[in-house]
Amino acid sequence: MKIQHKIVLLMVMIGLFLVPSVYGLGVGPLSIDIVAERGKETEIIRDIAVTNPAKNPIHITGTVTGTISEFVTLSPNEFELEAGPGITTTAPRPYKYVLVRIRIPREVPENSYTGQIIFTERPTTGGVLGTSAQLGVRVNLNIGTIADAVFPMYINIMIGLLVVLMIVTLIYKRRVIKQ
Amino acid sequence: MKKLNYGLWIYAALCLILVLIYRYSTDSFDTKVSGYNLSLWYPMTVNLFLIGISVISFKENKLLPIVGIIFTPISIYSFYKSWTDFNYDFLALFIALPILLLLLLLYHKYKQK
Repeated sequence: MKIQHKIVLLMVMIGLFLVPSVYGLGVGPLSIDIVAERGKETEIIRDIAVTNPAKNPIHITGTVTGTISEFVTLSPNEFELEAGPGITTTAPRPYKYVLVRIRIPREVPENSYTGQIIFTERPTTGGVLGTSAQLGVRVNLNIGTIADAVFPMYINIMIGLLVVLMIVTLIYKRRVIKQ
Repeated sequence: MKKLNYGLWIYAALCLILVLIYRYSTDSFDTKVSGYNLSLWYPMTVNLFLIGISVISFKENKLLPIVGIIFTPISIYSFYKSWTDFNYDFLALFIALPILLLLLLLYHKYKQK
């Protein structure tokens, strides 16, 4: 084995042993797909479960990247999770649901918007190196057209009445002028 | 009466155009029309025109300008509310004002005759 390979292997092992919190983050689901109608103010709420199996408490920050960032808000976007039972056991892990609120205004043009909700983990205690881990949830938002946005009958009748009144006003005015 | 006559007719025409823009902004042919953002400024501009006409023609007639000025804020609000909430009942309220004004104008002309 070459000396360079040994150095790389040694660094990987140091990383594995000294940074236990790197494995301490779990999120689900891993992707969210949403289809919404354009021209309609829509609010969609989903939640993402964030778990901590690692044996030390962690601090998590949620951020939104990509073109979906203007529509998506997270609540809470920063929180702490207590220490878990460890990654090798099947005991219940501490978790928290993060509310993902997707608010689509009426005026948004139809398009495909994508991005990620990234959860960044930082150990609050324990761990020798000051590192952090990230996990992302992919979000696909497709905004499409309204198939049928026809006015109801009473609106059509009112428009018709308005047009008739406009014509009558014109004709009436001319008659009055002639007389 | 001439200013009021023309003014109200143009106001009704502007309302009609605005309603048609509203109608085709929410339909499926999207590429060009979706660029429109029917904000508060659209009904505000149309109703500012009505206020202008009402003020100018106040000497000609009292009733019509007063009705126009009183109902202008309601008209602006109803159009904006209809657009943001996608509620056609508010749009009906917006169309009701030019209809009411034209009916009053016709009645007034009939009385004059």
